[in-house]
This record gives sequence, structure tokens and C-alpha cells, in this order.
Amino acid sequence: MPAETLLLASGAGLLLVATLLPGDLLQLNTGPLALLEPWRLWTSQFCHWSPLHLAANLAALGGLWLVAGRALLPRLALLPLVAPLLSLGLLGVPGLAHYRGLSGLVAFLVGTLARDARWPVRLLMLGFGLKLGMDALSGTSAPFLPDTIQTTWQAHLGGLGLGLLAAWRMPALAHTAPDGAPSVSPAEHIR
Amino acid sequence: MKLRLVWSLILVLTLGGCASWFSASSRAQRGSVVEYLYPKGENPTLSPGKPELRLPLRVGLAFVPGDRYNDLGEAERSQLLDKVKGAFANRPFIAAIETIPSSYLRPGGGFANLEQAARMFNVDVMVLLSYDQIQFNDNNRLSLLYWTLIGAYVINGDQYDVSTLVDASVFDVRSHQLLFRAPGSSQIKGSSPLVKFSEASRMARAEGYRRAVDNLIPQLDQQLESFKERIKQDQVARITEKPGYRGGGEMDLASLGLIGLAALAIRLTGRRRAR
Repeated sequence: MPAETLLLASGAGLLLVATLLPGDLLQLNTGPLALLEPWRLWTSQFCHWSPLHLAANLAALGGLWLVAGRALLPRLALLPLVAPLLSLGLLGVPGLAHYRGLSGLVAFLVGTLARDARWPVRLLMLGFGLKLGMDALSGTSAPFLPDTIQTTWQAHLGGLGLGLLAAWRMPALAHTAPDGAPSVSPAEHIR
Repeated sequence: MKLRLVWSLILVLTLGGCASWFSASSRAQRGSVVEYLYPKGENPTLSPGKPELRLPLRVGLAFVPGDRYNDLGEAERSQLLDKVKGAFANRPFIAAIETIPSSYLRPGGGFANLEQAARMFNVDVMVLLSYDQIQFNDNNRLSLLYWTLIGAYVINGDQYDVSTLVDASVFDVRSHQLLFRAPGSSQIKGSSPLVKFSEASRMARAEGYRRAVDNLIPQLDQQLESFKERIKQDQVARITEKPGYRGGGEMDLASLGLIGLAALAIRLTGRRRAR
């Protein structure tokens, strides 16, 4: 089985499991004992606080599919590899006790489109960057989260940063063919 | 004459014996939250101010100690508590729900005992399930056939009617205030032959608890939503956050809008090129 297919299946499996199992078992818990349950580094990025929260993130994923087409597949394959890096970064966010949500990985996908020269994608990158800056300065609204949960903009910042790094360091992510398919899969590039 | 007397005695004793086979006409099982929290007829004390709920809450769930020898064994209680726990475990304002075995609560233990258990299990709020079950037994006309002896094995001549009420009272442990409550009830009617009556009615009593808890869960959910509304509108409790917030990775409307616009622009420009 090609590495990309395996990684895509892992990502889909993680999302399915994280949606079906109780979030308490899967969310990221920061603090001194955080690394005693290492699976949370993966599952926390795929589990959600509510069905509405999940739906909003999946809608963003669907939108990115419309933007990138099939070129999104190799990028999606990277998600199971990026998830623990993003979670490790979130362990250092001051005051954060628990975390759930896919949007950090959605921000990663946005970042990987950095070398796509089409103007709507350029505008998306610019708008996303500005929005992130405003969130960091003035806080952000959370219309799709339950009352007592705050949006963790640091996850978006970390995801976008990792996405930009991937776009810069992985030539396979540099170009998107007219139909959206890259010439070399990033998973192949990693091997 | 003596022989007739002996036969009469045997007949009376036998009939008396048969009569004693029948169960008592009713039986009841109770575990009352008032008797547990206010033993010896104490009066609830009114504490000034509003309860302070620090989110996310740690919630304890327990049956109040009641009749010592009843049908609701610890394993059965635990299953029922797990059912309630399962229905509320994923609420974002609840950090954890601990089921507390009845052995940790003393009959008539009052708030002192409640606080002990709450400290032991590290919970802020306690959900106490009180119960009241009453079973009525009656014989129907078919029970006449019991005198054939075989009838006692095959004829459903005994009837039971089991009414169960389970009531969940949610207490803030620190302020001792009742936050809200919700009831659940069930009624089970059935019949069985005399020799199986004890077993059949025992199963009906256990089923009565299960159905009452099933009935309780949506009512508790409704009362919880209503309590949340009362907090917002009437400020019946003060809500504070525990140190350390809970974060969610969420794509808000602005981000969704940006992605949506980019997707739309790409579709439109793609179509123009195709023409």
C-alpha cells in the first residue's frame, strides 16, 4: 500500500474514532502529566467539543477541497504526522488546560498552499494571516463553540507556520497542476 | 370423632399453609434524600448568597442510602448510575462525572457525610438519586386453579403492579443548595404462576428501576437546560472558570467566509478559462 494511502486512511480513522469515543479520553490535557497519555497528541486534533464545532471545521475542509482539488489529498496525508507536532506546541500555551479541534490542521492545509500562485489563493493566504493577527491582538469570537470554550488562535498560528514550513521545504507541495494534482506526492518525498 | 378432628386440623393447617404462600399484598423500598440529608427532622438552613459554580464542574453521582435489604444491589446501582453518567459525560461544562458507591454514604449522614464523599472523590456538585418503589400484589380469578397443584406451576393467577419513582436532586456541595431536580417514573404490571411469583416480581422491580432511570434522563437534561437559562436570566448561580481555560480549534465565520470566497473565485475563473 502506498505511504500516502496509508496516511490518508490513518487520518480518516483518527477522525472517525475521535468522533465516536468520549472526548474526555481523547482531548489534550496540558500540565506535568500531559505526556503520560501520548495518544492525546494525535486524537486531540481530531476530536471536538460539539457536533456544531465538528461541522464548522469539516465545512472549512470542504472549502479547501474546492480550492485545491485533488492536490489536497497529499496534503491531507500529512495530517497524522503534523498533529503531534501541533499538540506539542499547544502544551506551551499559557493558561490552556484542555484542547480539542481540527482547525489547527485546517490552518496547516492553508499554509501548504503558500506557493500556489493563483490570485484567489494568494488572497486567502493574506486574509487568513490578517485574521490571525487580529485574533492574536483582540481575541476571537467562537460562534460554533459551546459557551464555556474559547478559541485557541495559537493552534491556527502553529498550524499555519507548520504549513508554510512544509510548503517551503517540500518541493512536492510547490506546484499544483491545473487539475490540482502535484507531480510528486509529499509522502513519497518524505520516504 | 378423634379421626375427624385430626382430619379437620390437617385441612385447616394445609389451607393456612397455602394462604401463607401468598406474598404480602404490598411491599415498598425507599431511599429518601430528605432522610439522608436532614436526619432527625432537621430543618434546611437558608444560606445567603448564590452558589458559585466553578467550570468545568466535577460531578458526583450516587444513590442515597436507603433500605438496607432491597432489590437494588450495588452492581445494579452501578449500572444505572453509569447510564446517567453516559448521558451527560460529554457536556463541555462538565470536567468529569464520578459514580460514588453507596458504601461511601451513611444512612442519615447529612451534609457532613455528603461533603466527606465529595472531598474523597474530588467533586463540586452531587447528583443524589432517591427512589420510592411500591409493589402491589393481587390474585386473579385464575388463582382458584392453584388448588389443583399443577395450576400453581402453569396458571398466571398472581398479579403484580410495580410503581417506581426515581428523583435526581442536584446539590452544590459547598453551599448545600439544591440547584435543580428532575423526576423519572415507571409502572410495570404483570402476572405469573404462584411458584414463579417471587422471581417474576423481583425482575419486574429491577426493570422498574431501569425504566424509571430511562425516563429520568431526558427530564434531567431538560431541567439542566432550564437551569442554564435561569443562570443567564435570573442569575440564580455565579459562574466562574477554574484556572486554565478549555480551548477549541474552531474555524469561525470569517475564516469560513475567506475559504468560501477563494473557492468561489477559483470555480468562476476556472469556468471562464474553459470557455
